[in-house]
Amino acid sequence: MSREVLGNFELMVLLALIRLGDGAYGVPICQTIEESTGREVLVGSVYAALERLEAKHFVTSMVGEPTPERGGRAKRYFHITRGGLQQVREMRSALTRLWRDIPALEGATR
Amino acid sequence: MNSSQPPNLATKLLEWVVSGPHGDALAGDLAEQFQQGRSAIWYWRQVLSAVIVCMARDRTLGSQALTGSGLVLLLVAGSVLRHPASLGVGLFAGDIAILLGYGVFAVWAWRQRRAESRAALMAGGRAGVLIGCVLITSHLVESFVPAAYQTVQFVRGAGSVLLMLGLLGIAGSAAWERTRSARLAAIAGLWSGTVGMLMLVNFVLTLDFAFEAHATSVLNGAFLQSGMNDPGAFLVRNSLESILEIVTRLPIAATVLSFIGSLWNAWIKKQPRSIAALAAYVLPFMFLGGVLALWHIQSLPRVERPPFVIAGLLSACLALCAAHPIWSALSGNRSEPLIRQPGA
Repeated sequence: MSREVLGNFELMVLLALIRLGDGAYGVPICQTIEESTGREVLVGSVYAALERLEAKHFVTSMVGEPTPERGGRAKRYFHITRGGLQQVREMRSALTRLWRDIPALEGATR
Repeated sequence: MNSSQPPNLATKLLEWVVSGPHGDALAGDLAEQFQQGRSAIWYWRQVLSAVIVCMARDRTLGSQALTGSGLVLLLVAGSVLRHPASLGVGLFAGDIAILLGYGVFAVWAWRQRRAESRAALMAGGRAGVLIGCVLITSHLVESFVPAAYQTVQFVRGAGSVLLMLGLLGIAGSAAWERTRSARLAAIAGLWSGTVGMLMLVNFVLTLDFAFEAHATSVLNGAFLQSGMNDPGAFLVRNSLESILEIVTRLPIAATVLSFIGSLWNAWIKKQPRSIAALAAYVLPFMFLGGVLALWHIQSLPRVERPPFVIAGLLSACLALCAAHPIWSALSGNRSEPLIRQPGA
């Protein structure tokens, strides 16, 4: 496993990028995370996570087209890199191994 | 679909604070979601949280220093309002003017976007946090360890000053290493002094504000000689005088020492490793000589002290400023600058 460790929120952002494919920019990324968690997402936090992921080379970005409903501002599309995908796979394996050793939680109160 | 425009003030705030590669996209995302039916409250909440996140992630510490400057101004104003008798117009105005200058410098640092400027400011900011911690520790020891423990107080006084001077040299040397610019190294030193000073002044004023009885008891002897009636007012005036003195002197020392640190680094990186090793042997003696000269002045009459003070400080400062460059040269840390010089 590589030395970079993903935080919970960073993992969620990467999973949202995988789900959205080529259409991943700020708004759908936030909506995807909101739908799966049922909580409102702070757009500033999503961009902070994306900046961290870019610095770790797990994500790349490119400027898209400006639209009127965005006040003429361009979208920025994000793509997960091969290193990012590898990181997600390693994270899933690690979490799966951890869950496997835990007894069933159904009905547990402590 | 929301046909109106998002709150203009919030948008302006967002555009001013949140810059960088993703600032424009973030503003566009918020505008798009507002057009899709989000409320103005939602928009404001998103803008304010984005501003906070952006400020908290500022590794140059510009936004934090700006907040610190504002807090210091509030604390000074609050202290003076609490004890109006402390108000000496020139003193108060001098403090406010210099602290506003610190605030302007913080805004300048915060708004820097050039990679090499930010690298220098980050190096300065890190050294500044350490300087702040050193000065705060020194202040705590001075406030809470009885003056009868003279050795402790001497080690505190000399130790904190020498550590601070060394850190200023480190700031300049580290900034030069990243930018190959003596000007940016001096700015990094100035920035480290600013950050450290704001930390100290915030801490001291807060401590005085919260534990006024203890602080006035420490200064009781000086208060009795002052002829003032209100010990609280004396405490505030004493703090304002100390602040004025230190916030005026430190930037000068910071600029000079960081410049020396950068010169040391520039020189020693061009020398063979054996020269760096030789300097590593010689400089501790140079430092020790400086400290001994400073120690010696205690036994001299006042008129005979200046040459020893100058020689001691010069010797100790030169040795301290060389610590980082020598360590860097010996550890093989010959990092590439962010920007290559033409012809390099």
